[in-house]
Amino acid sequence: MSIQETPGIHADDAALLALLDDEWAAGEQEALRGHLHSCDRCAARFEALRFADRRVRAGFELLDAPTPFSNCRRHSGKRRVMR
Amino acid sequence: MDFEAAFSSHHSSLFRYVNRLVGDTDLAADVVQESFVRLLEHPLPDDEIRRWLFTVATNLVRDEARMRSRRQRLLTEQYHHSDLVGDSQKGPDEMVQRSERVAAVRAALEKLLPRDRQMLLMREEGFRYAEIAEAIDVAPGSVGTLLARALRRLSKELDTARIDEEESE
Repeated sequence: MSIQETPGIHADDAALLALLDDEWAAGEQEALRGHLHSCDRCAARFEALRFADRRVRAGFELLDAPTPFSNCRRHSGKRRVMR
Repeated sequence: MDFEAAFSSHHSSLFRYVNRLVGDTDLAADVVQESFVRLLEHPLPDDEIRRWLFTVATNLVRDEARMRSRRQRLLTEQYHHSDLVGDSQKGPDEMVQRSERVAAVRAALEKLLPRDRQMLLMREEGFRYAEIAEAIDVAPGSVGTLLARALRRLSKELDTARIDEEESE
């Protein structure tokens, strides 16, 4: 993937979700964040994706049950860093 | 391979993933146990264990012939008993409401393609896109697009079911 900074070119959902998921290299991440600061359309779509992500996470958490052996096992779920 | 370390590191995450996938804690426990038994029989390098376990567990779920009927039965039974065990401090109304929300989330998940369910649940467990691509056998470059589409679709289904981002709190 590459990030287009050309005026009038917008980031697609895959690029925005990759930003949310910390999948971009540092330089590309910075470039995309810069684009979001100057593009209301992409910024709005990014926020919509973030909202969808929170809703889906909340839904998943509703499904959770106590883990067998949970009294002797520490939680190992990895938290994503950008939410 | 340090089996005990592998179990300690991955058991909770694998159980959460499988339980979310199948909506049946007993079956999830069986699948996770079988996955670890197979790991014991086929030692792997440490850096391959996590993805291998999730792939084996997903395949076990897929191969479970009774799965569909069990899920349907669970959907209809969820209202009656979902949280009645282990949630005794909540009032009856709250338990019923929660059970309805759980059933709604499961119904929304069932509307996704199995591949999309697997992708979203693996992402939720912290897998990187490259690992997800390998697990579901798609090009790494397509994972973001597929995930974003699945995420929006599930969010829309949850919205229709009136599940919002504060539901689990």
